Amino acid sequence: MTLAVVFGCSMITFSFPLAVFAMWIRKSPELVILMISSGFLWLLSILISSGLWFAVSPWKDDFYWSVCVSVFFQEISRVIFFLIVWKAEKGLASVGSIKLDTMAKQKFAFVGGLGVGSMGAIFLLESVLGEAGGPGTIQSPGCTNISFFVISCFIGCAFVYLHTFWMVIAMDGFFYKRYWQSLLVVALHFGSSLLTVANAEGLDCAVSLAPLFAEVLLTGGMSYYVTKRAHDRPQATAVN
Amino acid sequence: RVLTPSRDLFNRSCFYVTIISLTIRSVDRLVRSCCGRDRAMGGRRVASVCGLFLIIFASTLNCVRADDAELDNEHALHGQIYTELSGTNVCVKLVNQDGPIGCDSSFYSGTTAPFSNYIASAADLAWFLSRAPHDPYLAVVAQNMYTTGTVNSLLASGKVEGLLVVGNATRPAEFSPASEYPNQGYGLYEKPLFKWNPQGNGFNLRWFNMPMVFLTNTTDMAAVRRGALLNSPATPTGDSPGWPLWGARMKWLMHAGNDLTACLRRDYCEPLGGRNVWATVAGLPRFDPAVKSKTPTTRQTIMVTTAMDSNALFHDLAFGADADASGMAVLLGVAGALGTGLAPSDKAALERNVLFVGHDGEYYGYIGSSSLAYNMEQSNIPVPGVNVTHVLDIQSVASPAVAAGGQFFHTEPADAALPAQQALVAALKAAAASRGAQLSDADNTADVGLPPTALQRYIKQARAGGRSVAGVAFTDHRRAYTNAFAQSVFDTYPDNVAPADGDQYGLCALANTIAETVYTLAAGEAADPVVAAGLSANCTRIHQYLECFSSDWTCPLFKELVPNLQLSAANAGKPQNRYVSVYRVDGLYTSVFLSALAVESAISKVWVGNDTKACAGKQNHFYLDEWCYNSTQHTTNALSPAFDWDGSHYYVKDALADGNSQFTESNWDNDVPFLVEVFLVPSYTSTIVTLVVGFIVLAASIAGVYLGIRHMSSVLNVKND
Repeated sequence: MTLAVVFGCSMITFSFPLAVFAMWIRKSPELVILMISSGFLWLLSILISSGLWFAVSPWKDDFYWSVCVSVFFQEISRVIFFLIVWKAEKGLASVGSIKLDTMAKQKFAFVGGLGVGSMGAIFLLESVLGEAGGPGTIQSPGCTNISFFVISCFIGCAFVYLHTFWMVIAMDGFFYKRYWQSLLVVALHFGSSLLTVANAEGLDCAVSLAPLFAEVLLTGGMSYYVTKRAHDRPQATAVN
Repeated sequence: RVLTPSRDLFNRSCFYVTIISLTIRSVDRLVRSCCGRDRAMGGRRVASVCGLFLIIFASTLNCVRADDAELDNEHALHGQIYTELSGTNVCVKLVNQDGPIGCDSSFYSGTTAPFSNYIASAADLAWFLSRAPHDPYLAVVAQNMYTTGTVNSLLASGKVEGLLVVGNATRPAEFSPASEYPNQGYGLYEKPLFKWNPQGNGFNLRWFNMPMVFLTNTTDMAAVRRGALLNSPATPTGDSPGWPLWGARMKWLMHAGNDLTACLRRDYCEPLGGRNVWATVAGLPRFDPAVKSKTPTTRQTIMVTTAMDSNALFHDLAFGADADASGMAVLLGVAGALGTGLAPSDKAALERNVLFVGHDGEYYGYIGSSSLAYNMEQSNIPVPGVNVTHVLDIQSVASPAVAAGGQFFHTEPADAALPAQQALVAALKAAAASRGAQLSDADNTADVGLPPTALQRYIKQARAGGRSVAGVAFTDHRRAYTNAFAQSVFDTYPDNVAPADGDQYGLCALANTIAETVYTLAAGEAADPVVAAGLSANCTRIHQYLECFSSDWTCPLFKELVPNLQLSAANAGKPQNRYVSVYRVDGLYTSVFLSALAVESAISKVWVGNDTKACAGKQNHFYLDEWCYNSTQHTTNALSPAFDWDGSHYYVKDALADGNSQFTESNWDNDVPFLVEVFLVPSYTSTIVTLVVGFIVLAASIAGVYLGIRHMSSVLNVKND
C-alpha cells in the first residue's frame, strides 16, 4: 500500500528531470555526458565535504557549519564545471568543422544544473524512499498532517529546479563576466540549504517550502531573462 | 533534511563516484561508437577528464563502510519510525486432530493495523465497540480488563485483527483459558460429566487466527500504551483522533498449515512432549540384591504422582503456582518423608515398591501419564514388569480456598467396591485423622466422576488390560475448581495460593498423611506403627519448593540442587515458565524436579559436611545441605502414544489416535519469528493522494517541458540537432 507513496514521491521529484531528459537531452550525446559529468562533479564535492566532516571532529556536531562547508564545496564544483565547459567549447571551436550552436553555453548550463539537481535529489531521497516503502510513516515536525516523506519529495523537487536555474544564472555570470550573478547564486544556495534546516527545527513546513518554491519561480524567471538576453544580444561566438 | 555531511553521505558519495566514473567511461565509448569521433570530441574531453580523475581518486580512496548505525542517517531514520518490541510472551500456533489452535498472522507481510484506544475500563471497551471508526484495529487491553468477556466481545465485534495485553499490577477477578471440562476426551469418560472449571473460557484450545501478545517488558509496555493512549478520545464520549494513528505490524512466521497429518509429514509441526521423571523408594530389583529376593515380575507398585508442567495461553508465562507447583511440592515432601523416615531395613522389607513420578505434558491431554501407562503396559521402561496397583495423584492443592476448606481426595465411583480401593481409602482416612490434616472425601458420585487427573489414564490402561487400579486424586476443590486462574498467566505465587500460616497452607499435613498412607500400604503386614507415626515431611522444604518453582528459580535451594542451572541475574525473583513445549525440547523444570526428587527419595545418604564436591562425578549421587544422596532417579520419554516416528517424520498411529493427545506445535524460523514493531500508520487515503499528486505533477511536467521546448526552439533558437 505504501508502494503508492514511493511511486507518488518519485514522480513528484523526478517528473521534471525525466521529462526534460526524455524529450530533449537524450537526443544529444554531449548533453547526456555533460549531465552525468556535472552530477559527478557535484558528487565529488559531497565526497570531499563529508570526508572533511569525517576527519575534522569539531564540524561533526555543528550542523550549520557542516552545511556551509558542503555548500562551499558544491560551489567549487560549479566553478570546475564551468571551466570544463569553457575548455570543451574551445576544443569544439578549434575543430572548426562543427557548426557551433549560438545557444550552446546556455544549453550546457541548463543541462549541467539539471544533472546536479537530479543527483542531489537522488541522494536526498535514497533513504527516504527506502523507508517510505514500509508500513510506517513519520510526520514532519512542523506540519503533522503531511508525512515527512512527501515533504522531502517536494523539497527534492524544488532543489532540482533550483540547481538547474542556479547553474544557468551562474554560468551566464561566468561567461559574460557578470560575476555578481554567480555570487548571487552562491548566496541563494546558502540561504536555501539553511532554510531546509528550519523544517527540522519544528517550524511549519510552509516556512521552508513556500520560500523555496517562490525562489524557484524567481530564479526561473531570472534564467529565462538571461537566456533571452543572450539570444537577443549575442556576444562573440568565440568565448573569451 | 538537506544533505548534511555525515558518514552515511560519505559512504554513499564514495560509492557512486566509483560507479559513475566507470559509467562515464562506458558512455564515452558508446558515444564514440554511435555518433562518430568528431561530434563527440568536446564531450569526450569532458568525459575523459572526469573519468580519469575519478578512477584515480576512487582507487586511492578507501571507501569506509559505516558500521556505526547511530551515525548512519539511513538507519537513524528507520529507528525513528519503527520501535521493535522484544517479541516474547506470544501466543503461538498449535495443531491437533481438530485443526489449528492459537495464533498466527497473515503470512507474507504480517498484520498491520492501528491500535485501539487504551482499554483499561468498561467505559473504554464500550467506546471501542460502539464508536471506534477506523477498524480493523489491534486491540490494546490493560491487564485488569483482560477477561473472558472483554476478549469475547472484542472478537465478536469484528473490528479486531490482533491483541496486545499490557501488563499492570491489577489482576482480573477470574480468568481461566482452560476448557470448562479440562482434558475432556483424553481421560476415562467419553462424555463430559461435570463442569470442573466453570470459569473456563476455552481460549487454550481456540483458533484465534490473529496474533496476540502479552507485554511484560517495561519499554514494550510503554511504547504500546503510549500509542494506544494517543489513539484514545479526549473525553469518554469524544470522537476518535484522526489519521495517522499509532499502530503496529505483528508478523508471525508459523510454518504449519491447518491439517495435522500434512504438517507432520512436512515437518512443519512437532508433537508436544518431554520427559517424565521417576524414582523409587526401595531400590530396583535389577540393582539391589536385597530386593531381588521378592518376585520381580509380580511385585506390586504404589505410584505417587504429580504434574510438573503448567500451561497458559501465552506459553512464556505458564508459571502455575497452584496448578501444579503445589502438587510438586507436596510430592517432594512425601518422597522426603519416606526417603529419610525409612531405614534401609524398612525399605528392604517393603512388600510393595513405591514409585514417585513427575508427569510432563499433563495439560495437553495427559501426555506424560498416558505415555508412561502405555510404556509400562508394553514393558518399555527400564523396570520390567512394573505391576501398578495403587495410584495417588496430587493435583493442585494450595488454592486460596484451602485456608478455609482444606484439601479433598477423589475416587472413581465405579471402583468404590473394590477391596483394594476400600483399603486405600481406609488407610487414607486413618492417616488423615492421626495427622490432623484437613482432608475430606469429595464423595464422587457416578454423575460426577473423577476430576481431571492422571489417575484417569492409569485406570483406563488397567481396565483395558483387564485389571484394576486403586487410586485417589488430591485436590483443593470438592467440585468446581477453587482456582480462579487455572492454566493462566495469573496462577502466580503468592497471589494465587493460600496465605502461609503455621502449617504452610496445610501442605505439610497433607504430605505426612500421604506418606503414612503409602507406608501402610507398601509395608503391608509388616507395617510398623512406630515407623508410620515417625514419618515426618520437611515442612520448610515443601514451602521452599512451592516458592522456588513458581516464583524464583535463583533461590538458594535450587542453586544447591542444580549447581549448573546457570540462570542469569536478570532472572532473580522471576518464575520460569513450565510449558511442556515440543518433545524434542526438554523443559528445564524436569531437570530441577529430577534433582529434587533424587535427593528427597534417596535410597541412602552419607553426611559429607561442607564438602560440596564429595558427590561429584558419582552416578546417581546428588549433594544437598551437607548430605550426599544416592538415589534411583530416571527419566522416561513423555510422548503421546498416538505418535510414532517412522525414521524421518512423526506420524499418527490410527489405532492409538482415539483418546490420546495429538497436540503438536508449529515450527518457525529462528530469525525473528515474532515481529512486533510499533509505528505511525498512515491512512489509506493519504497514500493514494500522494500517488495521485505524483501523477498530476508528472502530467504537468510533461506538458510544461513540451511547451517549454517548443518555445525555446522557436523563440530563443535553442535547438537540439
